Amino acid sequence: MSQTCIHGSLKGGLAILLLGSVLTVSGCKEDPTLFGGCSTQDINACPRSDGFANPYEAQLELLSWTETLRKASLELTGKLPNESQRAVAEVHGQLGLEASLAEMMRDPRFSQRMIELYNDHFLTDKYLGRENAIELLDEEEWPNLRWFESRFPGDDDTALMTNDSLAREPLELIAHVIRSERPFTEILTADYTMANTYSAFSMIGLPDIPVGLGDNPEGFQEIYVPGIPHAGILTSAMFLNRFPTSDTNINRHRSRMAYYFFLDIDINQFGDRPVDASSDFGENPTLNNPDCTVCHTTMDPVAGLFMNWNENGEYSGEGEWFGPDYILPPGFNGEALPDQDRRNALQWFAQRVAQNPRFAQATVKAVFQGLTGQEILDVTIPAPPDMGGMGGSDGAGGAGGDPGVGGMGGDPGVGGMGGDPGVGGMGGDPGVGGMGGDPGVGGMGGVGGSTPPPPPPPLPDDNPNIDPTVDPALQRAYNVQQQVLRTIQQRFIDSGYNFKVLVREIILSPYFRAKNASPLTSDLEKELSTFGTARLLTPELLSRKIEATTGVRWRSNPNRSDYLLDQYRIFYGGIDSDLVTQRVTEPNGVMASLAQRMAYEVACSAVPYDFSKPASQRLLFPDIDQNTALSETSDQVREAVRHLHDRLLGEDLAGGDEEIAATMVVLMEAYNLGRQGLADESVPEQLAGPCRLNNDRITGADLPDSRRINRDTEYTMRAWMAATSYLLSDYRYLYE
Amino acid sequence: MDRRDFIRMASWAGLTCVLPAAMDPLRASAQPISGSAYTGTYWIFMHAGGGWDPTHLCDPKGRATENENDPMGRFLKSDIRTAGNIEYAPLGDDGTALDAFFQTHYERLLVINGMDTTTNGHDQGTRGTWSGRTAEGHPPIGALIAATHGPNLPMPLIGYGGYLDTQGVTNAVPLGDGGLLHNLAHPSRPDPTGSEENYFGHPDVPGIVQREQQLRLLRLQGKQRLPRIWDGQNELMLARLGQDDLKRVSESLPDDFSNNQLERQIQVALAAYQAGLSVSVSVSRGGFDTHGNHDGNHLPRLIDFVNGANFAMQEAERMGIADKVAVVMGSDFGRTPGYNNGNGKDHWPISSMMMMGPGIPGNRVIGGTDDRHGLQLIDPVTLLPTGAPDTAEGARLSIAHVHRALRNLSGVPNDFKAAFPLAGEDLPIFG
Repeated sequence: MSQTCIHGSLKGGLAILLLGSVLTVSGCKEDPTLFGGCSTQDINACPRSDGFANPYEAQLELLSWTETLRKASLELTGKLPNESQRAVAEVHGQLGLEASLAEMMRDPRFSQRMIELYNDHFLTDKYLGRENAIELLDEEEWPNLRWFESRFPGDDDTALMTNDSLAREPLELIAHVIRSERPFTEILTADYTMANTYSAFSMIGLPDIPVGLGDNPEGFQEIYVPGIPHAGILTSAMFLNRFPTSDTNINRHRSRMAYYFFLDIDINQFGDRPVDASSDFGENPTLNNPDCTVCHTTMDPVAGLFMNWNENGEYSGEGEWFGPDYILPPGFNGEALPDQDRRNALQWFAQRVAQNPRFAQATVKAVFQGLTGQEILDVTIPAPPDMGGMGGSDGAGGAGGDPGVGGMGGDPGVGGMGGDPGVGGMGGDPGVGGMGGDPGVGGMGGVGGSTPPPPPPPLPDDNPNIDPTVDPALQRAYNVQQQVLRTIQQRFIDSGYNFKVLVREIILSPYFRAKNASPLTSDLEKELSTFGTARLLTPELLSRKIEATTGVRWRSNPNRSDYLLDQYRIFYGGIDSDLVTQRVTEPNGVMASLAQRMAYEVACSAVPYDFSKPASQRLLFPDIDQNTALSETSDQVREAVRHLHDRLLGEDLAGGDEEIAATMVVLMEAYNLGRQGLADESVPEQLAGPCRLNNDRITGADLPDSRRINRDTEYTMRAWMAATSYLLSDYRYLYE
Repeated sequence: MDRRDFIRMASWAGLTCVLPAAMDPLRASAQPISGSAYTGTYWIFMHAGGGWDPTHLCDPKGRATENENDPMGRFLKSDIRTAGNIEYAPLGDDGTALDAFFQTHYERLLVINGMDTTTNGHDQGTRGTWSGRTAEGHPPIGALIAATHGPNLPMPLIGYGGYLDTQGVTNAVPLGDGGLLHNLAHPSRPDPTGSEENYFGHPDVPGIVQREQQLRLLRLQGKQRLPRIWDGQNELMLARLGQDDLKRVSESLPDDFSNNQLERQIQVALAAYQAGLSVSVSVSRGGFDTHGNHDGNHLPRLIDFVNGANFAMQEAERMGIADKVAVVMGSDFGRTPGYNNGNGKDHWPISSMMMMGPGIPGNRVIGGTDDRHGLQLIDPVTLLPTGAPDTAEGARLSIAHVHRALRNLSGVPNDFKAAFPLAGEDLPIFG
């Protein structure tokens, strides 16, 4: 069961807020969901997946179900699977994994992971911190924006919480739709937005009488801001600010990004961009020059659909746009925007995007890349839109006009939409267009000015042709991958756009699970080049993995942020959603050094801490203690090494495996060197300062003497630190 | 383990080590790893983020009298300063704030005025100024130069800001601005700038860990047959080879860091160059998008920015590498003639660039603009302005022209030029 809230209960705005806590509980109901009853305790309640056959059964080796479980758990929640999940995957295979996935996808950390995934696209976390989001909004439009200044003067925490709540609006919408298992199309069609108590006060208002912040002021709920025709993310002020417009750009950037994010169409790929800055593009080239119209015929009508939203992401509701002699009229995918929808043009657009199969395609692509870190193979020839109906390549189409101006994509000089700028237009300066005028009045110019403008071209074929010059083995790789992705896409659609189905299917697919292959011919090597995730973990994923596997976080003390989320985030290839927006996916020397330092410092922190705990609570060394003598021949020590491989790397090795022997080499070489050093007093008995344990690594609380560790008189602690850091900096730790 | 040891070890294991992107046709000529240090020109690209105002810098306009309506600037034309053949704006309280830079470096300095960026969009302008094309898809010139001369270096392009979409020709390495670099150069030391003690209390233990790490990676790789995973393992192996290089950068760092972030970044970059590990750096200073209170907000930043270039050259001289360092300064675009109602200036496509370094003729101004910072065509031979486009003949000086020249000067090879073509023709910008 998932919790959803009826936004209607909040439509009363101020009046409802008088109840103070209404945002947290009132109006909520429980809806049944596809995965609601599914758990490792009740696998029969789980929706079944048909799974995927191994497309290269004879060659491709996949992760076992339990290995897949571990990888998925770290990816989706940043945690290791619990015992119940491991057991059910072990016994029931795929079905058990599916049940575990359902549990994981109810974990709040899964929501945070999806927010992270989508922020890589929308980058709206740029506005977290200080008053970065608040400053984007106009107090004349949002008179209660700074409600906290009067209610909590000088309270920086409340100001920051308000700011960050406003900034997170679009990503919280995504998390909400996922969590409640609503159709994912609702991220565009939602007739509400998301706010918690802090941001709702800014958006809707603050009553005159004192109210509290409710029981759960940080919890996000649906709200409806009166007077605004919400269209999910498309009308989010943060989204609109992040993808801004200007007087000359006139929403084209927003249009391009909407195509890119929600329809998997990169308009820039439609044709060569003009590169000769000194050439004469002619009059209004985006309307008339075929070099430009190849993109603009698709882009500009959707730019017009953003007509009601200004550069600050504020709604005007005027439904006014430039004249058709300046820019193509609003529309989408072969359909002109009806006049009656001008004031809610983005809602009109959102409904159409949601119904288009390309929305599912774009979503599959984003999530596949997000979960695997792998670009989808593309060996196709970019397919521009079919503009046959736009200007008429045979001269028959078009709305008439001055033949000298040229057509919209047809043969220049034949037909065309240009028209005599003195005849048509919607007001404003002829030739430039204008913002004024009665919407729908005027026309496209040309003869009589009464011929309705042709609608925008239909979207390009979503099954483009393969480039025949590409290596046939890569063509086969493309076809196999597309077949799997199309299957995932169809299952996503068939589930009613349930995002959790999409995540489940990607994890079950051989692209998430491939781990090795039998010896391959050169052709097969290319054909299987899309298999096998070899993703360098992002700073966020690595940070969570450290905590999950070792029980400590990599940070200077409990009051500070994790290094990988703070001072080392950019060093380790992360983004700040502002100046740095592309993740570094291949490590460099700096990142390798950083991983090395991480390994040493985490081992230094985790090993004494783990040994200090009762055996039953230890994660790394449950079967030995700090006094266990180290010896190459000790089965107990070898078993402890075997456990470390399992815990840190997910490797289930036999005691005699060469990797166990290699780790034993690290352990024993370090041990022997250290012992010699202790004997000749070149090595201190005291642990290095940061490794000494006097306070709890998690809480910072003083530890009792019995748990304090400051000395290492036998060098066992540091030998285990060496072995642990060897594994923490391993490929299989840093990559998934 | 150092690079040589690794290569030896790899060779024992029967492996051939090539750059991870050797599959990329653009890098198909990648060479096996070598330990050679880069000693060619070091390129410092300085981006003034937001769109700078050349009329207050190297294309000074000012006003004829204090009563002039709609002035281009609030200084008098008669106060415009000169250094050799170069004019510059009299900024600062006494009009001499830019003297330190221009008077010191004019003999090496090339000023390009009247450059048409053809855009007033920040993203497009930034891309255009640093790649030669406003549309997406071209890497910055710093990446092309880095990929040309330092494909095997651990940090060929150090990226602190500006346009860094390298299109895969190389990676832009964010190197931090000083202190943290020591932590990474000496990852096993709790206090990298103090005691040499490591986390293990014994100096040889980290070496054991690192040796066994690479051996394990080789074992994993030997068993791996999926090319994606094999490549990932190769990436990590090669990246680890760059770890020791950081020590060399760390050792080249000055004891005293500047308090100014831009200057600290330049110090780190020059240290990386001196260690032979870097070919170029891209730094950025923001805050130039002054739609309001232009003079109050923009001009101090211009002074800081130009002083940053001056600092780079001073540091290079202190390190004895001044004759190897090239500095290139640019911005998204220019700013509109005159002031708007908020005393600000909006976006204007005509801009300037300034550069100096090996192969760049100094004490020279090419291109030009009219009194209102309007476009002037240029003679394609002399590169001097010929007049406004509607009355004169000549070429329109574009960002593509500048980048064609920069590519030629820096030795960017033809395969890169073909992969990322630029419009127009070659102009004798560097003679």
